[in-house]
Formats: sequence, C-alpha cells, structure tokens
Amino acid sequence: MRLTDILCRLRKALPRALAPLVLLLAAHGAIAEEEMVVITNLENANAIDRAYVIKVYTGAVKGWPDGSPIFLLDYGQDSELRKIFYAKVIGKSPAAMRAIWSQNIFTGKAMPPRVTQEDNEMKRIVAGNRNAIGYIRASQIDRTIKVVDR
Amino acid sequence: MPFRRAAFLFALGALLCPLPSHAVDLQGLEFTGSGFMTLAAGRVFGGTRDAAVDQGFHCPCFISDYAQRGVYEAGHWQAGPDSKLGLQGSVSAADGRFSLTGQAVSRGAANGAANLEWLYATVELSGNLTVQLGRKRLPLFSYSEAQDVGYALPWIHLPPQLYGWEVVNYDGGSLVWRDQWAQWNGTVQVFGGSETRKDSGFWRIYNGRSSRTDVRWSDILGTELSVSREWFSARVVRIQSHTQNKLVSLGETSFSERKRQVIHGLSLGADVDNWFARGEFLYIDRRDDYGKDYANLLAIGYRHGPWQPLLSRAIYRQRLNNDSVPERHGTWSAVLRYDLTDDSAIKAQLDLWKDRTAPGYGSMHGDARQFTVSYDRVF
Repeated sequence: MRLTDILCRLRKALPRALAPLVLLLAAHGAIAEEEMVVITNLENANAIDRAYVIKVYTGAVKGWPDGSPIFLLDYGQDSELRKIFYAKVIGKSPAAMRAIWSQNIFTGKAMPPRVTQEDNEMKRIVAGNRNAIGYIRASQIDRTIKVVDR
Repeated sequence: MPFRRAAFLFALGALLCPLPSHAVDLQGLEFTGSGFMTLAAGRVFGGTRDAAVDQGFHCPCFISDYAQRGVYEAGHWQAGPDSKLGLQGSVSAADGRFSLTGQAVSRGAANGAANLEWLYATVELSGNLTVQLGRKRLPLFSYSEAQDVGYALPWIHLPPQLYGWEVVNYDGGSLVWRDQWAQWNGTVQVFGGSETRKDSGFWRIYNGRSSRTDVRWSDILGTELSVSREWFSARVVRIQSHTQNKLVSLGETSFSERKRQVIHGLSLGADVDNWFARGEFLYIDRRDDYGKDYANLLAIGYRHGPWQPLLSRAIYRQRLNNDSVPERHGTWSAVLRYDLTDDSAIKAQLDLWKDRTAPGYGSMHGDARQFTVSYDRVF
C-alpha cells in the first residue's frame, strides 16, 4: 500500500473516530455554559446566601440558621456538574475540595455528603427531605424544589 | 514476617487506590468506605553523631514522627518512617444524625502493624451540637487530627519540634458546638477521657531502641475554641491531665506517681489570594514534674495551580525547674508539593535539623540533614 493510500484512508477514518470525542466535548461545553443553582426543600424557610453555601459545601457549617441539621447532597467524584459547581459557586478546584473533605472525613469533623447520580435524583431527594440541600442545572428547575442561590 | 505483613498491607492499599470512596445503602443505613496512603522514601545525608538519642539508632538520624517512632537513620534510603495506609469505614443512619466510624492505620514505622486510631459514635443533637464517644485523636495542635493523612497536609512529615508528643489518642467523649457570629464561624469543643499507650514510640527514641516504656495520661480535660472568617483563622486550646510512666524494660511493674500537666496552644492561619501562612505556639506546664516545654512553628506557602512550595521553621525548647535549658533544637523545612490528580499528590521535602543543646548536657539529638519524597493518595 502506498503512503498516499494510507493518508487517504486516514483522512476518511479520522472524522468517524473523532466524532464521539467531538460530541463529548460539545456536551461538556454545553454543561459548562449552564448556570448552576442551589436548591432546598419547599418547606425549608431558611434564607441563605452564597457565603453560607460555601461554608456548607466545605463542611464548616453543618446546620441551618434555624438550628436544624443539614442533609448535604453532592454528585459523584467524576461528575461534570460537580466540577463546574465547585469552580463557579464554591470557587475552589476539585483538588482543593478533596483536601478539605479529606480533613473533615478522616478527622471526625463531618461525614461525607450523600452522593446522587444526576439532577432528577438530586431533586427527588431534596423534595422529600426538609433539611436537604443540593444543586442542579438551572434548566432543570421545576415546582418540586426551591432555589436559594443562583 | 513484619516485612511480609507490611508488603501485604501496602499491596492492599495499591489495589484499593483506583477505587473511589464508595457508599452502599442497606435498609436505611449507609455504609461508606474510604482511605488514605502515603508512600515515602527518605535519607539522612549529613549531620552529627554521639547524640543522646543514639541508643540503638544509627545516627546521624532524623526524627520524623516522635509518637510513632519514625526515625530515619544514616547510610541508606528508608521507606518505613513516613509510609502508612489508613482504612476507614462508617455506617450512618438515613437522616445522617447518627454514625459509627472506625479507622485503622498500618505504619511502615511499625513494620506494617495496624492500630485502631479512631473508633467513635457520633450523634448530631442539632445542626449546631455534636456528641462523639469512643477513641479519637487528641487535638493537641492544629494538624494533629489529620497528621496521618498526608494528602491533607502541606508537609510530608509535620515539624517534629511541635508535633512530637508521647500520646496522640484518647478514649473518651467530646461535645462540639458550632455557630456563627456576624461574619465569624466559631467552634467550641469540650473533651475528656484518658489514654494508656503501651510501648510508647516517643520513649523508645529517648530511652533506647530496645527499651519499652508505657505511658498513661489520665483525667484528660480539654477545651478548644476555633474561629474563622474569610482569610483568617485562629484556634486556642487548653488541655490538662495527669501523666505517668512505667519503664517496663527496666523491670518497673507499676506506674510512676501522677504528675499534673497543662497544655496551652495557639494557632493562627491566613489565606490571602495564593499565599497562605500558619503560626503555632505551644506551652506545656509540667512544673509538677520537671519544668516547662515551649515550641513554635511559622510557615509560609504559595499555591500556583498544582504547585505548592512551602517554607517553615519550628523550634523546641525545654526549661527545667532549676531554670536550665537542657534541650533546644530547631528545623528549617522546604517542601514542594505537586497535585497529580484531584486525589493524589507528590512531595519533596528538605529538612535541616540543628541541635542547640546547652553545653554540659551533651548532644540531645545531634544535627541532621534529611531529604524525603512521597506519593500521597486518598480514596
């Protein structure tokens, strides 16, 4: 086979081989562009701001302003939602958050957050637990939950 | 045999490493498993001999962890003193208000032998109030409770001048109150209990490698206050207890007379943009026994992406009741950390230990120059 044939075949095969990667990057870009919102239960009357959310997600605060315990929810370690939330809302890298939670978990200061898989599961748990707090993409907001920070 | 056990435990850690911490729900209870490991290698590349601690240790030697008898000796690379593997399991109720946690740590310094460092029940009485009962780490210093979790620390080994005491755990209980005052976050902890440490690593360093000393701290009662806001944090701790020793290798069968001690600690932290600084100051009143201990630590570091260089200086000084100062030494440490992934990092640390023991008391530790590298991971 001549070199020109090989190059010709590669030129045809490459777009097909890269298509899934391109789609993945496009999807990642779409998620990265989306606004993230912090959600709570409809019956939860506590008003909190961004600074409070950061304290909750770094384990510095474990209770709501009214004194009830917080039921903290997060996504799995590989979740794109989680990485974007940490960067845009918490303002820390995944590595910095991992170091903070390593201290919390291995020194008895806090239990790790309950892990959910995607927005719908996050919304379902928050809707069913008065003390829960979580976050979803803004496009997934519905009437079952309340947005407290965006 | 100990080496085979150590090899098995570290192989187990290597196998577990690729797994993320995981949770399993079962009938309303959530089981979680997680862990941490440090693989470290270091070498003493200079220093002095004929130190008082040179009793079975091949000096010049560098003490990386008094409590666990972590000592690097002259002449060869060693992986034992700082390497460790910790496994933690927890079970918690569905609402998160009750949990039971256990943590075992296998140490290279103990030839792979595993010890139960934490075993405690937690009850969240409210969003502000937490009760814990069981076996825990004693919060002597700012990083004491995280001392085994290399990934969470900027050093490979914490400066031994400060982080070097005979007892690091206690059996008992603690009550923690968390609150907020304006822009300040505050935590008040009250704790109490006791600890009997058989074959203390700390005392093997002072009494000789083949010695055996048991230590008891009884009537431990402590208070810790921590406050933080934005870039600033501070911590004050006061712990009182009675201390007793028993030099078993000399045939002693009962503990010595109880002596009272009071520990005072102050920690300050600042995080401004990419810069961070830490200061720790310790004063132990043991006048009922021999005198007073002073130690302090200053550190400054910088975060630049995955890179984190750090420079620290730690000093220890002992003043006896007759006003003499028999033991005094300090260490300069330079550390470079690089985060490989979100849950692993490599570090290189250079330590220069200078002994300034007073003339007439001989050399307590001698000087030592130490280089250590490590790979830390949490899973």
